[in-house]
Amino acid sequence: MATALKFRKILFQINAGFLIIMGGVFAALGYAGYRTGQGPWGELLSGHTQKSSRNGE
Amino acid sequence: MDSATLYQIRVKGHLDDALASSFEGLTITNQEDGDALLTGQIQDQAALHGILNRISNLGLTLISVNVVPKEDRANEPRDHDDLQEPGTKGDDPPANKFGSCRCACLRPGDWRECGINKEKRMNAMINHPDQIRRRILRIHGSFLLVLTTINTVLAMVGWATGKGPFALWHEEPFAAVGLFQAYLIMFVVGIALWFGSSQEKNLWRWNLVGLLAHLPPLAVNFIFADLFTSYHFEGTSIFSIVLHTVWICIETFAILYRGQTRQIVTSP
Repeated sequence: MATALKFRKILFQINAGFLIIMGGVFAALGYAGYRTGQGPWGELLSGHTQKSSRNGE
Repeated sequence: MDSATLYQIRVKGHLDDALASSFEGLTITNQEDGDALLTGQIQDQAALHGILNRISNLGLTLISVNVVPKEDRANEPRDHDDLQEPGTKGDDPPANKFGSCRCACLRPGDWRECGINKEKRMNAMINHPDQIRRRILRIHGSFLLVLTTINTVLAMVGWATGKGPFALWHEEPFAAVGLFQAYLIMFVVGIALWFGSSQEKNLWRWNLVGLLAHLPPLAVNFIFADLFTSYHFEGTSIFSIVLHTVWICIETFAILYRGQTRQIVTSP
């Protein structure tokens, strides 16, 4: 029983660590892409405000 | 106090068999006045608190907790009326300002309003802040489940048909992906808060989860303020800021809440 609990706890902590790291990295990359147009999502995320302004929206 | 003390706990409403089965070892007596008495030997304070927590978790209204004095154990377990001032026996103690509570006072000092001898009170504490936290978690969880479901449906309608408040996603479908994800994550948070509300200990941690869940969507309104402005979504953004801030404040209150621990009146 104690082993199972310990295993779940370790799994839980690994999962939490993964989410924190991946969430942080992806948020930073997404924001950098949105602001600078660089990085893996740069092309996708940048230029939306300019496009909207151009269209007079 | 003996290793096991005879306690008599009064709760509001009658207990059916299903509820009674939650109090193994205690004798349940449904009274004519609509209350139920739980009577039995309780080993120590930890066991007493366990029972009180169970009462709270089952949503029962606690009215009183009495210790049955040794000299009275040969007789029928006593009601809380035995705890009244001399000369008032037989009368119901006056209801205090907290409504249904009669002998269990919510604040130190309120025992006077119950007409109870000072010597007969005991500073057993019910974890009242946890009740507040539990209630907030359930309201918060329900709120998230309902709101995210409605918004997800509206977003899907907007994405598929170009109609409704999310019509914009019809022209920019990729943006809808992020929105779906955000709503569904908050839906899961709502489920998590409901799970958390059923925990017996450390409820404040789940309130913290509820608080933290609102920080990213709140931050988005400030980080992407120019984007919201360019799409003329200022109103939506302000509404979002208010909504998230209100829930952050409520959960902060729940985490920090320490007041109003209950003082249980009992015989010596």
